[in-house]
Amino acid sequence: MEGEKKQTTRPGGLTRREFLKAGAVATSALLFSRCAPRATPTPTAPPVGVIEGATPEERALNGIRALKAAGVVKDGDTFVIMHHSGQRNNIVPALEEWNRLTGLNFQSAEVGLEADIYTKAMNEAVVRTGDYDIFLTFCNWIGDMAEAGLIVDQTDWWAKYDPEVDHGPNRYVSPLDRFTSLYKGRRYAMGADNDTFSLFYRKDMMEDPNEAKAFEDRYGRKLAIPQTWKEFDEWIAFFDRPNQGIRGAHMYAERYFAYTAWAARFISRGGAYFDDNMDPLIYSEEGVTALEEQIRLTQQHMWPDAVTGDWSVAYSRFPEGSVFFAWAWPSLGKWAQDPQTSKIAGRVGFMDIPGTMHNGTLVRACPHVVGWSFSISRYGKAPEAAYCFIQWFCGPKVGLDAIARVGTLDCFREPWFDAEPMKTAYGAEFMPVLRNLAQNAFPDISLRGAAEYLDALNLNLQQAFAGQKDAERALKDTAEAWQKITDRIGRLGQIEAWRGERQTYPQPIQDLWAKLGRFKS
Amino acid sequence: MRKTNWSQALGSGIRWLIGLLICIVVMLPITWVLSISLKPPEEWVAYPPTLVPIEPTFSNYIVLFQPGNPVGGVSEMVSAAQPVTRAFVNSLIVVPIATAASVLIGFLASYATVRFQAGGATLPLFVLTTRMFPPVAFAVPLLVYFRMLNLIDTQLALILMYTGFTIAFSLWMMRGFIEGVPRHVEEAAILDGASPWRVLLTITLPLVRGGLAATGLFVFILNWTEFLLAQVFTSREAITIPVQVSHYVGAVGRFYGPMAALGIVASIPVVVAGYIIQRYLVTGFTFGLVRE
Amino acid sequence: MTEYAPSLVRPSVRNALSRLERKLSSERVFGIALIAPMQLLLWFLLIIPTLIVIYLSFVRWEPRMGVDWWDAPFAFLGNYTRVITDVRFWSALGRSAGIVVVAVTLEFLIGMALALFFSRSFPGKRIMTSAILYPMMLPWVVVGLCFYLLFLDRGPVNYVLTQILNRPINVEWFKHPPLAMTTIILADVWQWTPFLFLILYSGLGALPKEPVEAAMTLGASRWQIFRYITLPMLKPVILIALVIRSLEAFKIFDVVFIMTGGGPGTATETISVYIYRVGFVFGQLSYAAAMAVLILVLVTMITRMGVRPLEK
Repeated sequence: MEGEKKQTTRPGGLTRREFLKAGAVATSALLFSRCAPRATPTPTAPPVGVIEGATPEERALNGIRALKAAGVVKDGDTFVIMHHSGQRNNIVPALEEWNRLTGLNFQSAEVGLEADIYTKAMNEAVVRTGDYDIFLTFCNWIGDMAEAGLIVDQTDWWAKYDPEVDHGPNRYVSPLDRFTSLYKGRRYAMGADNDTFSLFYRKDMMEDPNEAKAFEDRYGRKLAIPQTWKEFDEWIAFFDRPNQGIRGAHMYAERYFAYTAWAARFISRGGAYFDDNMDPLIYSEEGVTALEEQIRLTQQHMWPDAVTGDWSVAYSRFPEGSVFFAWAWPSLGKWAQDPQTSKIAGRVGFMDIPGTMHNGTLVRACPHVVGWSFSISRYGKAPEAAYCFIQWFCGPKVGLDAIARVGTLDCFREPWFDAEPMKTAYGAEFMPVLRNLAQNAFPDISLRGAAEYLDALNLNLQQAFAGQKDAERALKDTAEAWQKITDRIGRLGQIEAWRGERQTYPQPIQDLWAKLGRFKS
Repeated sequence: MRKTNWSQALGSGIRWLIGLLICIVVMLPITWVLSISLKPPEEWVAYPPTLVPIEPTFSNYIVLFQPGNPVGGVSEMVSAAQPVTRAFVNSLIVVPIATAASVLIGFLASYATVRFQAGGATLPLFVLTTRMFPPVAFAVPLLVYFRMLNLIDTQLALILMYTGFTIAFSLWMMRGFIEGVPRHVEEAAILDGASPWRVLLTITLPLVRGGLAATGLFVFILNWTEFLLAQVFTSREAITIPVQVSHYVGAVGRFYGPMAALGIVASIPVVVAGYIIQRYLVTGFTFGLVRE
Repeated sequence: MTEYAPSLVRPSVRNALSRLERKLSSERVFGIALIAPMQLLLWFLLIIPTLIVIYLSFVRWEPRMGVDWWDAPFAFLGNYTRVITDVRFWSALGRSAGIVVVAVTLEFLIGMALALFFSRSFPGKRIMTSAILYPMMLPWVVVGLCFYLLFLDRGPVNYVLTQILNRPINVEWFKHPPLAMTTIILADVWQWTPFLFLILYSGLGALPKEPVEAAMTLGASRWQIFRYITLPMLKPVILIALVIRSLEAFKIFDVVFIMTGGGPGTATETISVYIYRVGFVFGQLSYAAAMAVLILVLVTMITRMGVRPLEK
């Protein structure tokens, strides 16, 4: 039956070709009928003069008034802040007050997983819905977000409105004023947090006279807070009591924060992540020794979940009393002193971070890990109005109330360290220690591709802590991976960014680098 | 060989016992989730772990619906959280609609591909490829696409995506059941003068009830628990339950209590659905309507 | 319309044939009508994004480069050569494949046993069936967290082992790659065996009883009945269940992400976790697209081989 041979499909269906044609027509018809106008970047007017007001908050509010008068915003306009669920308690009550004061409608869009914040922000860079006006993200993502064209350069607004970040009696603790907001020398963000790692130990065990005697017998010197990393290692070894159910320390060796302890040692020895050519400096004597020390400490004096658990393990182990020493974000201090959540409330001691001696000078370096800062979306409806909010929120008075509430944001302005709400929340003894720590704080890698560099580093370090690689190998592999990343992203751009970034490090560290001749300028 | 009555009863009894043991083993992790949902914060990861909470509390459940209610230490941390009602409403709208659409469309298409090879012999495989892409790779292009259609953060977007992504399941799961319906049953009806639609709806459909029920339940579960696409495509308005679960984190890590509580509460609609459809998973019905 | 040489064909056959033709042409319309909704939906939903993914795989684009995706520079096969030489990609692929093989086999065996067990009625069966189906019904996030908490160093599993064996047991489940893998497979098996059970159970329920009864009167043993009658009849259902479940197990993501994050190191990094990291965390969407396309090709080829027996 020849007639039947024309079609290539069995009866009951269309041929592939007919179907493709129909599909293409249908799809394009649908698409063009519903094309949404793309949100174009809102042109930002050059700053006109300077806004009046006695405090940053006042100036922010006056700014809104001026914007309303100029017709840029009006009552009831909706603005959306994207932030992590952990800051809900800091932000939402403040939003309600701001809305009351300005008549605008600022809303919160929270995200549960930190990684998803980055994803959503970068997605916004691509699709530009204009759905978000403000992002509250990790400081070290600023590079990516700025280069993607997502966030606005705020430098001119800082000049116009003066948030009193890096000068004045209300200034941020230096160097937090620098690395939480600068990228390539311009202000792309405003810091809203202080995530300098803080060190806590069991004061009761330290103050026990029997311990003091045993320590002196063993090490020939008085039991005291360790000042150098070598003293620190001996101190932890001494207080490691596995048969009593207390291990010496809990320091992160897990997938996302394994780098913290190593970086603290490495930088205090005078190390730096990169040189002026963006070649990694980590595979060096300082780097390898630092890692070997930390590996020894991890494998000999810590519980296994320092390597396998996630970051919240510190927040359960230390308050329950199963480790002598722990370090984490400042909130661990709050947690450990609250009788509701801690079995060791009242027995918590605070200390400065150990450092390394360099010809009689002790140089300390404390990692500032993640840390949140506000950035403004280029595709929001009125970026300047959004900026006014973040200046208001981070202001000396409003910020104090916001931070004192329970949440992930911590204390960052100088006067706050002496303020009553903070002392009540953290403990009066802790505040001066935190201030000292912050003054020696150094940032995470904040270049473009920060997550990739850190991932490669953490990957190898965790393997080293787990015993799968030795220290040299781990750092060598990391350095190679870093080179590949840099080449792929574009070395010249990274060189410029790194130069800016290393100038946000604390002055003592920069001085040490100068002495060691690390960088040309 | 006929069994005596009491050996039959004994057989039943033994089966009951074994069944019970199986259930206990299966439910063990769930009891742990339940246990956490009834524990106050300090017991969530306490050592030694206890199955029965030392100080049981309902605060985790209360916190879900009344975040501002100061019950237990948990509420201080989630005091400004959104209640779960919005997530529940969204899930309860999006998931049943998407499931029904998927099963219906999939069943029709499955019938056509099995009986008539409609669309060509390779169409089912082509459809199956929609399940082979890791969804993460698809997410951004889909995002761009849905942005063009102005559908970000809407229920419609989720319904469309859930239907589209589960059609492959419906198509393929129904396939086996439809193939199990002997052709001569349908052809007999056709020769009697029934139209193809009639055959489909009155002959085939009842015979594959079990398959439809199983497929429907499974697609429902897939949609109900889907996280990645919901997370990427919603921000405030259209968040679903799995996304809401991820919001219970705070200053010191995840709030396992409310997460566990929400997990338990969220599984109730599904359990109810599962219990109801069991009626259709009948064993051993016959093809008694075939006229010889 | 074909002409049948009148002399060669008897009238009754001719009638039957023309009736067949009528049936065919209305069948054709019928067939189109039935698959149209699916085709429309799939084309509307997936074609454009798939084209975008394919396009992305041939350019070099990352959002942080600051250019729009349609302006991105061409990379031709650059991404693909990079994928093929990427050890991390292939190990992730291997891990995913390994999980599929182990987990799905276990799920099938246990699911089949359960389905057979439940195919006879006994008191309380309905409630127990619901209980068995329960693991599927929890959101992935909760399952992942549950198993994470169970296998913590100080979690219930170690605790129970300590009590039973009367020695302090502190297995570091998440520190040793094989153990971490085991916990993930356990979580997957626990969560998805009910799926296999459900399909096989309803498949068993839809089988006609006559062949089984006939075989029993002929004196066949239970095992023989199962092996030579039940199993072959169940073949299409089994194959489909295995194919579907394997595809899903291959893409396992949420559970791994929550329990181990791919660690220790990359020991449990499945292909979905790796693509997620590359695409979402590193922002290299082009590279992720190339990986996805490559996976699509590979998986299609393999699935085709597995599905061919079904098409007979």
